Amino acid sequence: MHEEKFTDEVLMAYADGELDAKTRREVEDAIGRDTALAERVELFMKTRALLAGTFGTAKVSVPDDLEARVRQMAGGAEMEESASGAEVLPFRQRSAPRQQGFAQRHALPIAASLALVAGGLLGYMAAGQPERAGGIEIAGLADDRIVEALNVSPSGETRQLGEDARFEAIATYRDGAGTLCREFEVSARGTSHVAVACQEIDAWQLRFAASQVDVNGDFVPASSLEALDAFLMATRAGAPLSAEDESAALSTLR
Amino acid sequence: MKSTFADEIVDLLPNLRRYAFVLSRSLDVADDLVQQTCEKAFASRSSYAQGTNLSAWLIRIMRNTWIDRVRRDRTRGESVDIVDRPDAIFTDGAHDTETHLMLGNVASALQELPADQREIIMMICVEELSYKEAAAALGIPIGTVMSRLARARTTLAGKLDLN
Repeated sequence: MHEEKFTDEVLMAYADGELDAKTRREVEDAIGRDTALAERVELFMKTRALLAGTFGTAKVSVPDDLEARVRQMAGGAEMEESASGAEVLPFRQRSAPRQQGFAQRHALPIAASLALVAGGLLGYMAAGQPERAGGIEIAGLADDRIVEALNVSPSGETRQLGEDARFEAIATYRDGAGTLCREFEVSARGTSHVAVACQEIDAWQLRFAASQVDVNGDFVPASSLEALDAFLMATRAGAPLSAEDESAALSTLR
Repeated sequence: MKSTFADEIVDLLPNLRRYAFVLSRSLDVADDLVQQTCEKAFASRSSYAQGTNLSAWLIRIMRNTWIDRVRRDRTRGESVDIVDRPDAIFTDGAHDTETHLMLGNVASALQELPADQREIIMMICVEELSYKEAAAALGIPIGTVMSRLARARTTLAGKLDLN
């Protein structure tokens, strides 16, 4: 008999309607002959029905103010689109005049600062210019003190890199390719960068860096974190390693 | 009348709130997470491919937002145990003892699963993402989605005596 070739995964995929037509027919034939297989499929159907029935149909409350805030954001986003003349999707909604104030106060400045960060970042990366944070060179990770900190600092630790410079380890994770990466911040004399370095050929390579300080010298963590998010999403960053896993991963570097 | 992008997102707010609550187990953090997710959704709307599953796209954004939050902020707000307080987000059944008990039992079994299994079982069985959409949201291969999901469901069935 061939029945044992159907793993739990395949039987579950059958229950979930995720199989291709050919495999589906094979499973159908098999469960007609083998009640144990049929029961296994039923178990997967039951768990789904139970969860869907319990959580899916229960009404989830949404506080009025939450919905109102989201509606307001939508208005702001549309104002930004029409103001910049950006291409709009067909189902764009005309914004109500009362939402203009919100857009002017919030949406436009956020978009503007994002563009500055993205522009600045691309600018220096393309030009190959080292990014300096008050004497600490981040771009090439040329500074031995940063490399040392990346090798040894557990996430959450802050260490001084000399008189005015500070390093903070934020998190360690593996990206979609399984490469070990660390997110960190370096600040020195009024400038601050959030950055990601990954291990390549036994050395730390800078993969991402964004300034957290705008042209006016104001601290703008939100926009650099937006850029960081986009980077993490694009590189399929995994969840942060636990303290133990991080320690084990870092110990292999020495 | 055609529904707008904003309408579609507002329609999904209950789903987002439910998912945020399962991720964070905190009401305050959940609502914060929903709001941040919507902000990012409106800001990066151009990256949403029309005609694809909006819910899957939003869950992916939420998950990344959550991971980033865990990265930078080890305090996660005050935990609310869904087992004790299912009525915290679920309005139905607050007055219906049987539904309340059922919700409590299933929620309790769910909370005993490892976080990665809890997350995937919610994505597929409750939020109705396809395996492919879940794999994209989690940044893992479909094979891993399937093995993790099968493990989660057999464990859950054992805990709830569905065998």
